[in-house]
This record gives sequence, C-alpha cells and structure tokens, in this order.
Amino acid sequence: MKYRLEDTGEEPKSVRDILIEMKNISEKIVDLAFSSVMFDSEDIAREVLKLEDRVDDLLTMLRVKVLMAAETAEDARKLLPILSIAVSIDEITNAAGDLAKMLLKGFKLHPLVLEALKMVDEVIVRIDLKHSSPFIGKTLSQISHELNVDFTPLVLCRGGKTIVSPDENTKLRQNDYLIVKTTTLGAETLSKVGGVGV
Amino acid sequence: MFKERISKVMNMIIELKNISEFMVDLAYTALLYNSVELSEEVERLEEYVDDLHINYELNILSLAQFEEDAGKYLGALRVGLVAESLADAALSMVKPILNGVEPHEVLRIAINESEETILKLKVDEESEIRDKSLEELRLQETVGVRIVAIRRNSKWILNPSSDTRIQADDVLFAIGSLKDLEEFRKMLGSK
Repeated sequence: MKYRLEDTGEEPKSVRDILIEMKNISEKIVDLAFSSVMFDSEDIAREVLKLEDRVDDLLTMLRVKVLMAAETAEDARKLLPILSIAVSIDEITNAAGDLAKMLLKGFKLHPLVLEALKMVDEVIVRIDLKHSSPFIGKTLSQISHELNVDFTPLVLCRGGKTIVSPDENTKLRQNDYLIVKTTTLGAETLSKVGGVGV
Repeated sequence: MFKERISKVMNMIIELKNISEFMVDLAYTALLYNSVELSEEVERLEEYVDDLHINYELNILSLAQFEEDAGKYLGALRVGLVAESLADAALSMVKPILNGVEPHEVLRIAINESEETILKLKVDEESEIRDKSLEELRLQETVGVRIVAIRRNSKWILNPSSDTRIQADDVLFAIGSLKDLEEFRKMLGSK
C-alpha cells in the first residue's frame, strides 16, 4: 500500500465526492478484473491496475480529510466508519488487482473456472460486432430498449483502444467488441442478436 | 472421483461469486437504512463464505496435485480470494451498525448518489405486481431493477429466486439506477 502525501495535483475533493468515486470504482473493478481473465485481455487488466492505483490515492486523500475534520474524540468516533468503509473498498480493489496481475504475469484461468463463471447469476459476456451485426450504428441505450434487455456496459474495445464504462449514448461500430454484465437470459439475447454474421 | 471433485469445485465458484456480490449490495442497503437486521444477515453470510472458501481452497489444492502445471490453478485460488475479500469488505462495512454506531450522514449521501442505489418499497393491496412471480415480472429486463431482498412479516428473503411470488405488504429492496428505480416506484404506485 502506498501512502503518498504529495499533492496529486487535483482540486481538493470533499469526503462525500471521494466516497462516491471510491464506491463507483469498487462496483466496476471486480467485473473488469473478471473480464480481463475471462477474455484474456491484458488491456483490461492494465485498466484494473490503474483503477487500483486511483483508489490508493483516493484513500490517502480521504485519510487526510478525515483526520483534519476531527476536532474532538466524539467527532473521531463518528468518522471512524467512513475510514473503515474506504479501507474495505481498498481491499476489494486489491483483490481485483491481484486477479488482473496474474494475467499480466502470463497465467491463464483454468477451463473449469471459466466454465463455472458462465453459470453465475449475473454473467459477463463478450459480443463481437462482425460486419453484419445489427448493433452497428446503434447506441447502447437503443440496443437495451429495442431488445428489452438491461445490461451494464463494462468495456468497449475499438481499434486497439479500451474504453472503460462506455456511455449509454456511445454508437457502436463494425469490429468493436463489447463486454457487458447482464442476466443469463440477457446474455443469451445479446449474443444471439448482436453476435451474428461472420 | 476427479470428475466429481471438479463439478463440486465449479458449484463452489458459482456460489462464492453469487453470495459475495450479493453481500456487498446487502451491506450498502444496511448502511442506507441503518438496519441491524440486514447487518446481521451480512455477518451470517460472511461466516458461511469463510467456510465455503476454506473448503474451496482445499479442493483446489487436491485437484492441483494431479496436475503437472499447478499454475493452472492459481487463477482459481485468486477468484476465490476476490469473493472472500468482497465478503470481508461487506462485513467491515456493517460492523459499525452491529456495534451500535449510526452511520455518518455523509455515507448515506454517498450511497444515494452513486451510480446504483437501493430503494425500499412496500407492496400495497392494489399493486399490479401482487401475486406475480419475479420470473413473470422480469424486472431486470423491463425496468432495469433487481430485487435483492424481501422483508415479509418479520422474515427476510435474501436474493429471492425467480419463482418467488410478491405478496401484499411485502417490503422490497430494489437496486438500480435512480431513473430506473423511479420508474419502478411508479409501476408499483407506491410512495
């Protein structure tokens, strides 16, 4: 763990904003780490490590803020749960980072683990947009509405670039590939409709 | 024997991943409503995940000894560790509630303002969704929300299955974006 005390060069954030950012990262970093090992993507693994570093910085910022805010023992007691949540989030991101690092060191996921990961309640799927995919030219929210499928877009890969958490108004292009988290049923529909064509 | 062990391990991965992800949602819900009951559920599940995880690791280690390349199983162990740390994190989040400390207001705000949030809704007598099963409702597909828990009388149904039927007076804990939750609230016609 890093305890960087130097200025990160950004505007000071409030405790609230730091916590919101940490929570948002913690929600997606685990899915991203699983995506990296499931689809053997070093790019996604590197994005995971970036987010892990970001959470380290946020945790330091939060510690400083919280220490400065406490004037009495009573204050300090009230502020403790905030620190413990932030530390928990940091632990989640560390575990996600360890999973991603494994891939970067050249280890692959055992086929049986891969198989099992396709059977969980909410699955992560990759949809490749070949030239005849009906998804081409549509935005993520259009696809969601038209197919009546709710999904969380995790990563969009376009021409060697990896976009984490693409916006719902992003238009899809030919040869993109998309990684989303959805229900088993949703995954089936998305792959069937969007992944057609060669 | 080997085959049996493999299918056992696969089921463990599925269970570890489902429960640990659910626990984090549950912990945030507990913080949002300062709920001792939900916190106790998190605590109970954490003990369960601990046991499951130890058992899982032992099984992986036994499988790995038949393998030339043990590195193949490293990933399996790390997947387990992600689940374990999610479960631990969920528990430390609700520890203050279990110790009688009310969560600081800023936490509630942060949970409410993040991308996904949790809404608590009561089902009334005239509600459209009454007596329907979660499978029939397909909430995730139609409105984009997921029911993570139901409180019925004084009992909890955690991570309800698709054949669970909604009853009048049920208290639903739904997770989703603010926009989707608002739509869901309208659909229920509840306050």
